[in-house]
Amino acid sequence: MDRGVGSHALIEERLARPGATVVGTDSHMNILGAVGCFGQGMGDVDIAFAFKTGRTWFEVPESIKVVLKGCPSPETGAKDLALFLCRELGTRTIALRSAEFFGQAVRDLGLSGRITLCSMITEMAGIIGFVPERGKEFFGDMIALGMPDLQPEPDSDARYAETIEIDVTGLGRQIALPPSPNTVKPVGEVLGVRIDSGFIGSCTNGRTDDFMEAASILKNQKIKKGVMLKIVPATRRVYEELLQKGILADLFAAGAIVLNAGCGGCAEGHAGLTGKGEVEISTGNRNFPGKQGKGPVYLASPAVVAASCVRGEICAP
Amino acid sequence: MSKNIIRGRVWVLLDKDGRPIEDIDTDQIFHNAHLHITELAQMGPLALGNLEGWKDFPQKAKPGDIVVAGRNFGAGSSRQQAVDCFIALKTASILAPSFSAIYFRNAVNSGFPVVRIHGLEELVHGQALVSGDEIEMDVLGGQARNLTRGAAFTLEPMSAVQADIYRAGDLFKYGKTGGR
Repeated sequence: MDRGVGSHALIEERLARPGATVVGTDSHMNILGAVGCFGQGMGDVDIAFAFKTGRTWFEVPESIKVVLKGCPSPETGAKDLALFLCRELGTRTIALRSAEFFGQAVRDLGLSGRITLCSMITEMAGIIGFVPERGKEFFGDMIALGMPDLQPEPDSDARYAETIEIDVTGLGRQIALPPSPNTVKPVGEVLGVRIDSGFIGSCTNGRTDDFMEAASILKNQKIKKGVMLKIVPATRRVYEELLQKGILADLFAAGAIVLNAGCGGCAEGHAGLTGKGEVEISTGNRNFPGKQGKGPVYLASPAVVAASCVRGEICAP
Repeated sequence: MSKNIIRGRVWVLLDKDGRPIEDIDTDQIFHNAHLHITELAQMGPLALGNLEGWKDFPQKAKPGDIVVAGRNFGAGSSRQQAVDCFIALKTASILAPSFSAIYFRNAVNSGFPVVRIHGLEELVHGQALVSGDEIEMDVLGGQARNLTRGAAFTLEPMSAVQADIYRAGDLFKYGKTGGR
């Protein structure tokens, strides 16, 4: 109950390593692409066979090269970028392919940002995403984890099924409108939508960095009366870091409801579901009808969720 | 043993504007709230239970029927029940222009024939494939014929791995053959 999201625990325990192949019953197992590991989600027949025999099967996907041109605005985070790519790539462009992302906008992402981007490959119908180029922040995160920096890199003569360029110059904060993670607009176009609850967590945005981003907005602020903000750390280790760094105290003081590590309300079946007519803004990865309960769900970054919970309506910090 | 030739009545999953529904996700096929169910027989009545316009599918469907859907069928979670609910209804096959990666794996592993159909938009638009039509298809080789309208159409032949597992029956039966 308290270990948290499996894919994250695999990274923390250094079981999912660069160059390895890992399977698990989670459709976001491709998060492991963040550390250069091939992660494949599976159903129960698939995983039972892997357990029983130690073997499985793959059809090697085509690779697609996605080059991001330019620099987003300074306030734009990995979630904004991931949502923007969900809009631009839809569920066709990288469908059933392995996507390799290039450009400064992704090179500068640390581990938590890479997790956010790689997890939403599922919402783009891709198999896996990799970010071969690394910057200082990511190197630091890997060293802190005690993980070797042996990222798989494309061969010098790598062949791609397709190469596409996407301009992200000046990209601002993004939000996905119900009922699909691919229905994405700039936050500025949906300002003022009344919300009943917020959710910060999930395999997509449940790292310490994500809660620090929320705490930077919520410190010395109060969540609007009548609005519930649900906080769900991805793992027990994240929970511990939040305690040690005093981040949990800031979130608690603002009025947030803190739940045990795990998936939280992102998947209906755990804690923190939406009721009929309840409008939620969430850092999760999906907002399909009924996914988090009966209410409509908007998807955004931890900063946008936090700011919206203070105002009681969708807003940019 | 798995059948190479499947003949059955089709249900074309269309939206209210008459277009094939794309990106049907696993919460629309078999909702999260029912994941505690492990008995195959209880899964059938819940198939497509959260898909607008098709919630009565389990009542309408008969064993041997074939489901036709829009592209990226089975997006979302890794749950096996989203395949098993059709097996429970004795649905013969699902045809779609594409399937989500994990849904495809789950179906292949269960020996359930999910097959990629070519030119679905045109078939639907031209009224060449309509719910209630009787079709016959070679799920391994890719030829198909609408018996009601007398017109041929094509499917993507099964890949080697899919065909191997399908011929064996399912992944575990394939494993017992020793693989390749």
